[in-house]
Amino acid sequence: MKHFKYLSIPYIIWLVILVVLPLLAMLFLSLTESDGFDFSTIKFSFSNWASLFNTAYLSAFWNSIKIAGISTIICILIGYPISYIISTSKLKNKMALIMILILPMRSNQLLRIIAWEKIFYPTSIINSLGISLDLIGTDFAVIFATVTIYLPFMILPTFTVLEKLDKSYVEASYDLGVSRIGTFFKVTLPMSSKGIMSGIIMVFLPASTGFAITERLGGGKIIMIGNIIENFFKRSFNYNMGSMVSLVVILVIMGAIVLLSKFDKEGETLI
Amino acid sequence: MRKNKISITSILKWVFIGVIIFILYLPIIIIFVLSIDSSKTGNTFSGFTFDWYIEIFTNRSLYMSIITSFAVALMATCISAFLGTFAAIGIHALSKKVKSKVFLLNNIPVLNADIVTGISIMIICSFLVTIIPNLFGYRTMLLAHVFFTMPYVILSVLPKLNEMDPNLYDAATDLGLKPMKALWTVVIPAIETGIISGALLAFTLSIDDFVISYFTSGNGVQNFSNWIYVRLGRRNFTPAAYAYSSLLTFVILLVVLAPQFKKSNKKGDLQR
Repeated sequence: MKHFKYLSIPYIIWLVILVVLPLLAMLFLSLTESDGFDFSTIKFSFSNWASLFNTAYLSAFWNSIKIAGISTIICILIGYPISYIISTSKLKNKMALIMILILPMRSNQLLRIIAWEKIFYPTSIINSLGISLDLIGTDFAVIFATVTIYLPFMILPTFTVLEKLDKSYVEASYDLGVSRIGTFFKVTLPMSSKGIMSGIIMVFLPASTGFAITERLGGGKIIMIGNIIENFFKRSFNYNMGSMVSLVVILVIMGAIVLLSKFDKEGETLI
Repeated sequence: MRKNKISITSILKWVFIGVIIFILYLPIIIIFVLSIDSSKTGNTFSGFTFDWYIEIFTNRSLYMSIITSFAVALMATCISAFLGTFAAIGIHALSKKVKSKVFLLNNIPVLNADIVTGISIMIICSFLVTIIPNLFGYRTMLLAHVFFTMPYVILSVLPKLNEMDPNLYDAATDLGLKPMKALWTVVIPAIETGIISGALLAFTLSIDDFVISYFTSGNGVQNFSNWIYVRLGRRNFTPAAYAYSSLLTFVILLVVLAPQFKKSNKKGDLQR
């Protein structure tokens, strides 16, 4: 089948055009001042990049890292034990239970965010249950919603590697007299690090770059980098500044992709 | 004594999983409650109604957005599944060294932030607007959806190609089939399950997409998620959106879970 190599060429060209070309366009836009995509008054300038260290952007970057970082850690602390419990259980239909845990992400994500918003205000439908929450604008609300939205992205890759893990290594460790806890930290955990790594990237990247959760639950108080980008591209139409901020985000993501490729060469934990 | 201790920890384990399942499904339950709540704002529960379910079919802008979601998802799925399969066959035939580089490129749309994917396609299309006016709309949205779903099809098809016996294809050509014919009659059936699971994944990702469509649609074309986002907190929002979403979620739960409980655990066919 080697002569089908040529079938990959159109796809590679397509990827290069749609991945690399926009990057060059963004670099160009970030180094200029123009009136949207009207280039009649275009001039080159470094002013966009000079304003990168503006406190508003720095605090948005910091918020993104903080909220996505805490959410990712919580996702590991909840998601990994779930995968571990299910994969080591004697259940016949483990996959069905994993499906039940994964399925909520097939329901409209935006509406699930709105569902939390609806009960996080003091006046809400859960008042009839005698509960009144006032959480809009708190870090807790944003982190809680982020965890509930992205937890399945941690469960799936960690479960996949734990299921594929050769159980005879674990048995060998027990036979050699290592305790259950010792075996977990010396055998199971290192052997499933690939899944955890995929999970971290699949939770952290979307969590740190999203804008809908902070937009709906942040009450205008919590601004993340996604909100800044959305604002430049969809509200103030300052594509030059938007491109500059996006490029910084892309650099971080590219680093993460290269890092992941060291762990998972064929992308098998991605789906 | 020891036996007793184990049973307590195992109960705690399942309680933990039960609580997490409850929290994950709570938003879906809330949306369902809002869909049968007669209050339009959804801030209080004012009584049962099924009116919102009827309104799905009478609110023109809402059902148009639902049709847009389905049309774009169906087209993007067909294009991605078709082209993605051939691209995967091509990638499979590459040498190991080149393959790992292509993988890196292929993973970019998968791992990239939605906002970056959306903006990338938006910028490319904005440059084209001077040549093709009114470009934004169905065409740009479809392009973006094909772009972000195709890598998933490839990731689903490739493992099946690796599992396939390479002699299968050689036998077919030795028996006199032309390469393309052999591909169609031997290789495609062998990797069929990968294509189907990739297509299903593409469809579910596409129909639910909010961020990428938000940046790449325009000229009044909206999919369902965009329809909600621009109307939130406004007077032209209607709980019929909750009703539609509840219906769709129910159908998805049924379609995905029913076969899981019918047949026993089948390993390997992981789906997102």
